[in-house]
Amino acid sequence: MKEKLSELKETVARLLKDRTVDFFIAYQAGHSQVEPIPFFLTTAEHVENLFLNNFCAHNLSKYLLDYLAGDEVVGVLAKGCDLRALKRLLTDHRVERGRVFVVGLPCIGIYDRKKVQEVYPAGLVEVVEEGEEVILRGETGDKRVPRKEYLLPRCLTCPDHNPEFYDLLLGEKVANGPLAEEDYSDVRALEEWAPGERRRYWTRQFERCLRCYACRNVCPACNCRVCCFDVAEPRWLGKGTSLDEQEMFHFTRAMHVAGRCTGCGECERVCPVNIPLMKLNKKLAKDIGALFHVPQAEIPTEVEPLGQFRLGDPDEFN
Amino acid sequence: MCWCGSNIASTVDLDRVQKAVEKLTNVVHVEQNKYTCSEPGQAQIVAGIREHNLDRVVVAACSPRMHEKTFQRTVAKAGLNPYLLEIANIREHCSWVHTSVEEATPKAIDLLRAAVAKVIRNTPLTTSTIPVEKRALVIGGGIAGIQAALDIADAGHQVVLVEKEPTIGGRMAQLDKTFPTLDCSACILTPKMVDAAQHPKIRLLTYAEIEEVGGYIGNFEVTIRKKARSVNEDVCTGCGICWSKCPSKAPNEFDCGLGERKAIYIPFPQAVPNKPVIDRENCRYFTKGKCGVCKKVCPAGAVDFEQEDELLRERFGAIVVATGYELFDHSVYGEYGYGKYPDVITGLEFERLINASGPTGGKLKRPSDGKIPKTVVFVKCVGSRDEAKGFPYCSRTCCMYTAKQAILLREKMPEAEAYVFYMDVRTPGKGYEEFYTRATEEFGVNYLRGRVARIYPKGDQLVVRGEDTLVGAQVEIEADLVVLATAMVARRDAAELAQRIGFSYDQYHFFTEAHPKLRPVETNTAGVFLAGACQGPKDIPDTVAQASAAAVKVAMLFSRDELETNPMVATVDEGTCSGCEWCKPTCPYGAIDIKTIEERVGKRTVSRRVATVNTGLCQGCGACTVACRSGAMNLKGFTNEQILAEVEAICL
Repeated sequence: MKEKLSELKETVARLLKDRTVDFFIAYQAGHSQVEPIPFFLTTAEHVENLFLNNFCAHNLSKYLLDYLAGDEVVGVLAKGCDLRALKRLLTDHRVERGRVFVVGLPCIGIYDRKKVQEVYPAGLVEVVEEGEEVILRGETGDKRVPRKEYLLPRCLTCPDHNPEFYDLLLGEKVANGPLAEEDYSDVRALEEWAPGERRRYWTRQFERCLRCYACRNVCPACNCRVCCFDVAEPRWLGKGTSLDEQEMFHFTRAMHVAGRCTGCGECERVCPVNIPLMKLNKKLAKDIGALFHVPQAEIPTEVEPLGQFRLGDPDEFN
Repeated sequence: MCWCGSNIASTVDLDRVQKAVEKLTNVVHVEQNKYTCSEPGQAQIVAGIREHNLDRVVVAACSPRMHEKTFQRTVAKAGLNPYLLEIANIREHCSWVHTSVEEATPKAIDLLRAAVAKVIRNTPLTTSTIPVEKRALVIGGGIAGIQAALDIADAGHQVVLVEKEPTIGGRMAQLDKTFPTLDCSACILTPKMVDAAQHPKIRLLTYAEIEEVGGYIGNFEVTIRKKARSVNEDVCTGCGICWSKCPSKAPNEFDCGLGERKAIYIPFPQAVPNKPVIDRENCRYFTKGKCGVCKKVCPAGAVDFEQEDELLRERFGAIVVATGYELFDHSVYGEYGYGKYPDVITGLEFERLINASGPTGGKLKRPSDGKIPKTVVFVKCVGSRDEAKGFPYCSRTCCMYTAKQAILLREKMPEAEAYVFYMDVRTPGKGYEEFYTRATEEFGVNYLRGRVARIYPKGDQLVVRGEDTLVGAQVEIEADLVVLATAMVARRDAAELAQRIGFSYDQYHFFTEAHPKLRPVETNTAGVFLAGACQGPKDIPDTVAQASAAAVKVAMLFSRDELETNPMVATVDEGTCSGCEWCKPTCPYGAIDIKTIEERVGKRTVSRRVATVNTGLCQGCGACTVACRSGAMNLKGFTNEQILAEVEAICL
């Protein structure tokens, strides 16, 4: 991905210069190789600070919500998964397609910073891909590890390595290869547990929650103008961090994204206390897929399984 | 707090409830009545409001479905806005479903706590009015629809009567004689058919179906599909040359497929309108591309092969649904031959076989070989009162029509024997028991109490084996013809129609009345009424009575120029609304639209999309409030704040 940096720089500089976009959202270097951060460019001079590697995980399209008022055109760099998130925002009518200039970025996988840092806590210089293996090149020497084990969970079940649509594509499309089927194996495993066991498991998870709302802030499906967790009246949720309030928060969040989650897993990635939020999201996606006969529950469509009244809806209370 | 005589007081310790409720914040005054809905009970509420200067009232009594309106009027009499009243349902939700005072009493306290928490957050609501379109739509042109249409029209209102088939008349037109008077069905029906056709206020739309229904009471918007008849009705004189010359034949549905008709046809001689229709699936011109005989011979030039379905959009103030019934398909009964023996027929087929306009010209001949049957066995409750293979309900008409058919058989052919296998004989109607007695005593019909175990062929006859439980013996009867009294079932498209119009139906797909006793012809959707067997099995007298009742309801509605609207509708908090449109497809009534608003953000004016509610269409169901994640949708009278307050009052 790094090799596309110069093309990215050229492209963004051109787009900003000829006023195709008034603003561009991409990545810049963070504290280390594994921690790139979002970068908001307003002039072509900024392009020198652009950064790109296989740790650029952030879904940048969520930032579009901050630039809704007015009539600027905002450019955004989008991988396949980010594009699904953007599609969520478009389907929810939160972003206007005409106001976004999508620079598509084909991607074969983003590495999980946390997993890499376990084997390489500091001094990583670069990551070199060699087929199914990856070389972690650091100041103190190389480490050769199986590539798949260090990818983000979402990359293992990625339905499309190329963005579905774009205004401009960086480089060539990449071959999708044999894509892993979403088999919901972790959800199935949980479903087999006894209810009490499951309850204890989730209690342990939710107890840790700091209610920092990072999961909500990063989620492309959580795009309301006013979030129900932020309002004082009606008091949907208390501000305290007791277990029942934590549960109320997590169940509400999960239900609010049910049928709308794009499976990007950003919530889980940004959670500072590692709550396995995707297990909840996947459980709902799996059930919705099965109950409403939606083959790919995580791809936003015009007709939402939970967001419509159908003549044939079961009316079993009558 | 109401005792409801002993309905509530015997299961809920109201003194204990009173002590608990008196301690609640905001509660000023608590009192008990033996019957709060009585005049003294209501007077006490008015006095209480005046004496204590109350601005909210909670009545703990029966379901709000019963007396909410009563008590709203009561508090209004004392000068309060009627929506500042809340009902705590401590009868249906509490005393009636519990047997123990120890369980029911704390629950009643909880229900009151919730109601008090809610009522504090009630706000005054006001109704507005909408105009009423004084035209009625009647769906179904059987006797129910015809009667309803005639009565509404006679009350002075315009009616459109829509019938799916090419003629009105429905099931009654297929019947031979009617019980208990044995008058000919057509003789009493056809005058009504003609009345309906000639009434200046009735417009008949035959061979037409309901495509779409929108709108609400007083203002329904209905799209009707007028199917291509292939005959120009305005020009056709009904002379009949076309069908006499038509070379293609098809089974005649009107005769239950026992006889044949032409591809261009009228279903029966007295059809109204007396204008044929081309059955395109069986017409040689439409299937093979050549023929056109009817077109050539038509002296009026009425045959029009190019005719297309026509969509009519009409406005109505009320809808009467009178779509009737179908007969149970007895092919699930393996023991009766899976519907494969030609001489095992249904009661309706028997009607056609003895009817003068039927396929045999009224001479009873059996379908297999045209032989005149000597022994006829009637089997009742086929599909009715049978949870295993059919339906648990009683079809109500079979006892009587079986008696009638047995009488007709014995009357026409005194040498023939009639046997009836029955479970019970039910004759709850004027003159019905006497009629049944005539069947057994005067006409010598043999009644055998028991179920038929098996019917099987033997030679050219059918052996009917069953048990006579009164004698306690197996019986075998060698019959020439077996007539099954098959159950009345809902039409196969009943549920779809109910969904299209937007009212409810039961597990058997019969349409549900608003109250089984007190509102038997209304549906739960205002402005939509029921008539006839679409609501449940019914004979002709009951059907006609219900049709007239539905017509009165319509006339009542049309006696007003304007209707009060329900103020409990959804509202949008535009500041919170994200314009995600999730609510829009969730609304079953199409009451939500999206509009663009402008607002100042920073130093500029920007436009933004938000949801907006059409209060005329909104029925206050609350689906949108659930769909809205940010709580921008709120239902007046059941706001998020009110419901959360109720939950907190119970849970915290």
